[in-house]
Amino acid sequence: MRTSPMSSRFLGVHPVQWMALSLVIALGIGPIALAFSRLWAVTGITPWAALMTFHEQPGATEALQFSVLEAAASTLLTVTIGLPLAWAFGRYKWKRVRLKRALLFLPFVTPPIVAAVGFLALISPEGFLSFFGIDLRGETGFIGWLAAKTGWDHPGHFVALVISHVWFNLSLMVRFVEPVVAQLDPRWEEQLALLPAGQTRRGRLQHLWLPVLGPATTVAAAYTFFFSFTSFAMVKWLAPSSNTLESLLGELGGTAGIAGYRTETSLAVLGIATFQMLLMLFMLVVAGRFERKHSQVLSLHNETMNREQHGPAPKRWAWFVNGMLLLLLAPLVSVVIGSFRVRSNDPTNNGYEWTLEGWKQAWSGDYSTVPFTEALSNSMVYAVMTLVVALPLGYAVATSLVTMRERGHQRAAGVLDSLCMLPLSMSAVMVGLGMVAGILRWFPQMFQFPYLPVVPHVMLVLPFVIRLLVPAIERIDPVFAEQASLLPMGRFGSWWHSRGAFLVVPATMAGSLCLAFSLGEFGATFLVVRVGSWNSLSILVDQVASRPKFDPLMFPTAMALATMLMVVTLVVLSVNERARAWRMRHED
Amino acid sequence: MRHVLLSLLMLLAPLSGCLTSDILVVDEEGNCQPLPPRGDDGTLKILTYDIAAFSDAMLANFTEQTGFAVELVYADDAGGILEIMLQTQASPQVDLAVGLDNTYLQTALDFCLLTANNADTSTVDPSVMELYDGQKAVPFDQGHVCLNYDEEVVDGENLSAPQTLWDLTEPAWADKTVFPSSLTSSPGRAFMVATVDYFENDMDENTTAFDWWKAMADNGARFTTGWTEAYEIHYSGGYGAWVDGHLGDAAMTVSYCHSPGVEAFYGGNWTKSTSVNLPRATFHQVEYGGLVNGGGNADAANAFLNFLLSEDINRNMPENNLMQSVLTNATWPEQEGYRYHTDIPMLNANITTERIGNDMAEWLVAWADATS
Amino acid sequence: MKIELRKATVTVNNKVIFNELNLTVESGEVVSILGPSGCGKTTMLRASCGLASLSNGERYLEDERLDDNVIRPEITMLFQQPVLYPHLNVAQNIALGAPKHWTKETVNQRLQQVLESIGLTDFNQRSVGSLSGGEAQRVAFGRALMQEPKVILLDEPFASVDVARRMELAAMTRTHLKERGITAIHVTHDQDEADIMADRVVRWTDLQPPSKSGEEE
Repeated sequence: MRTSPMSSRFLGVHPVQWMALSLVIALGIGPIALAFSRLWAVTGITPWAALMTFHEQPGATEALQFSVLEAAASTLLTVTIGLPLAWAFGRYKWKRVRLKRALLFLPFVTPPIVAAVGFLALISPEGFLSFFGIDLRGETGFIGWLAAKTGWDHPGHFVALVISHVWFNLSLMVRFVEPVVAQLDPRWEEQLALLPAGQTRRGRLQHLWLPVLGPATTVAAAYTFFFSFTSFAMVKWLAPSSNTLESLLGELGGTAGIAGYRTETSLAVLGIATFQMLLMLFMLVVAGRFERKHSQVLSLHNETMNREQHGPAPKRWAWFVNGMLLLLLAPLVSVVIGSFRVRSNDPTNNGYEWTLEGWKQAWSGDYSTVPFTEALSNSMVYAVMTLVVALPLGYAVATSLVTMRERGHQRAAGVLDSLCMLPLSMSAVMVGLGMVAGILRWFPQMFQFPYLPVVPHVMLVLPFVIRLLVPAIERIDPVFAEQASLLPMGRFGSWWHSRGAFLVVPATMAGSLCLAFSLGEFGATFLVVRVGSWNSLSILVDQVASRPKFDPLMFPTAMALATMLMVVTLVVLSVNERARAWRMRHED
Repeated sequence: MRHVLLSLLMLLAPLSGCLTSDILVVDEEGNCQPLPPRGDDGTLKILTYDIAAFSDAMLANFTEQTGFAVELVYADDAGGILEIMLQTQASPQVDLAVGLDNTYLQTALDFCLLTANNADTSTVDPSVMELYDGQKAVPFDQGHVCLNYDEEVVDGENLSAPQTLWDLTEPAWADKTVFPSSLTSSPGRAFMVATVDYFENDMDENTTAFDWWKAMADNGARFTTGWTEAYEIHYSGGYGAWVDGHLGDAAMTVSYCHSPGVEAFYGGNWTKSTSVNLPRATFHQVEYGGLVNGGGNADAANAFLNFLLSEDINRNMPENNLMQSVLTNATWPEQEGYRYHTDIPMLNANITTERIGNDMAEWLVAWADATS
Repeated sequence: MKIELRKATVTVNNKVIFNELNLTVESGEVVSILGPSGCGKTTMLRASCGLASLSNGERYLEDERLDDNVIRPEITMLFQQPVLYPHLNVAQNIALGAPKHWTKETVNQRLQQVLESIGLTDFNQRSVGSLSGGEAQRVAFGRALMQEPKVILLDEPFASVDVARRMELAAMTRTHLKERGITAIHVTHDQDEADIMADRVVRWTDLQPPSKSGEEE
């Protein structure tokens, strides 16, 4: 005999889920609140009053303009290229689809310094683009003419930055949109094809693809905007004459929050960070509302059958997808090439020699205080821990939000949803400051805790896990749960068949994100204190690549480490894709 | 609902009481109060930036000799070391700070971030000890910050080497210079200090260093966040020519007087980079190690300081750390033109460490205003 | 098992779906309820098995009063659209109906019997996504049979099947129900289907006091 245990629930949500929700929100609010309160105490000025001084902070207005322009351009271009890419990739049958999917995701998890180096190789005056007469770096030729004609300051650097953002974020578009396409019930399309509205491409776009793909595209576009807006490392490498708000905060942030020392930077950081946070929150709420308004429960369909039905991609799509894959790999290939190439000591030319010395140095660890194997092991441990913590937490929160909405508590769910997304709106500088302030005040022993890096990793990946799982859960027809309640299944069996099995694919996506975020060290900058023995592979690459390169072996060593990191990431992502393959095999 | 409130309360309540500042270590008369040490746990925690000499092998050597294990905690650069120490001064998480230079040292001393050590500095060159000879910091390497220029561009025909710093504000030098920011780079900061002394001692009493910086900014000088960006990306005279993304649009930058020597050492005894050796336009930079006030493992920390000053380690600073040894009779290596291409400054800027501590904040604001 | 609704009322968002409905189905009886689409028949079935709450009235199983929303294993339901789990094949979907205490051998044995009885013997490993509407509903019915229920609620089970097959399936379903003595409530808007299925056909409007169904409160 089964009853619905509603009595202990609030807004339909179980107490355990409330605890998970509270933890996730606190993880987001905590550091930022601490940082703000610290800056307030140091400056004696409220965040609101500091906000009013935003326009007075040197470089702030210019940084804002630049952030908005490059983020908007990056988002537009990402959607323009990414949407058809995701559509084609989700619709047709591809050979080695798991490998392709992993390769598509690789840019997203590439450490910025590795990506920057790869891009610089392509856009340099002697790089790949120079064959087409395009010099984005030195801004000669056509780009120089454009700069002179328009008065545009450094158009080449701007374009290079936008392209790099597109490169990073295309995989986001694919990750969010492809599953919707792949699992869409073909009857939607078939029905439309029989209606007058479905006779034209515009009609099909208007009545099927845009409504179906709109929410997922909006989410991916919103994240693209956020990531581009808060770009830090790529700006410094590719557009060194410019600043985003985040890179400006990065320059100022180290000296902020210290009583009696460089108080002017504390004021600047407080004003700029407040402004940025409010702006990002606003965008998050708007994006969330759009997604909510246009989300719908779509019937899920067998992905394998769908792909079989549509068959292999027509030539033009095959060229497009495979071509994009090659372009996406280009910067990474240049990193690999860089690992074998050492400048020669011949002073009469810029010659190079080909050698394995960089690889030998990388393996032996002479250039670092942590050997490669230890860094790799740290990376794997952090990645797995991030997955183990973030996935269940994210699922608990996602189900809470879905349940609340199902029970008619839209507003409460909306507010809590926005709070869960807070980490996306936060400056890394502020979170780092908050974490230091918080940890020092209450748990100074945490600085001895070797798994501390997992905390910011979890904090940053949770919004994505939640954003992936919420629509996936909402897409499941509730009748499966009702049917399960009428069948003689245990609690786990009932959950698995009515929900769990349907979430294998989105959970795999979320799992990939968890692993990838952690491997790519997205959270590293959140920690002000970085202990050497905690160095992950990504940090190691950054460490070696940032050193002065008087020694010719320094750069190829860094590139060898970067190559190893890329291989590890690819292997981990491919293994993770096996879960998806399991699901597809099961359905055959 | 109860569960919600309880959960949130538990997680957020500790925020109360955090609206106070945290300086605990300086008493009302400005004297330093020693913090209780954090205890000995057998592992020496060193706060440093990515010092090339601190390789796995070097640290293993120290552990083998002394039995003390070492853990490195990284800041981004010398300024980052000071910032982390200030951020964590109420509850230090490290035992030893290595890498503060003499443009940051006084601030660290004023904030009582360091405590007395018992390292043996008898073998340190007296000229190094002149800058600071107290008990709270031990020098371990040194260098002279100065301008470097590309001899192929500054060839004496199209462009000549400056005879005064004001020459760099002439149209011939427009858009050809790049400087690491004094706000975020320690060589940049050091050079800025040098210019203060330079312009205080030049013939013109009406102009200050910041007038010069403004004129440089007006003459197209570029300012980068760090030394790496200035040297690798913009400076045409160094190894940057082999680095992807190199622009090479600046013929002059701030580096060290021995940087051309390092270039030659790795470049097969050849370089096109050389230094500008004007009196007071160079800065004698010394890097220090010191025990953190409130840190632990004092024996290990002192042992490490002595280790840094040992012959084996310190004499090899030029090769291992690309900086000069602080020991008496320190020389540059002869191989591959290291010494040949290294310039010895005529006369370094003469500004005391105390004055740097007192006036730095004001200088940085003035510099930011002048160059924005 | 006898199943009863006494003065059952369901109101959703101030709209009365049905009011003071009385229905008694004796043990082993098959009753078809005829009514147009949207009149509340599905809600009545959902309330009968505990998937929907009664705003008023009571529900009885073999004269035992059941609390609201209590789902008893003796009662199962066939939805209008067959609910088959896409990650399981035909055999696995049917096997989901097996009581937990059965051994693996028993499950396999019964599975084969059920497959045979619903005419899908060679469909074991078939993916449910490849089934026609009629085949899918047969699989759903087979799963219901696996449960060995005492009461089956059928919500227009043949709506997605063509007319010819519909009558065939209705006849097959009735045969299985009567062989096993399963009490059944069958809702439909098709008179012919009701005539084939039922021992007794009841009009929806006869189940409630006149003029109160579908009114706003």
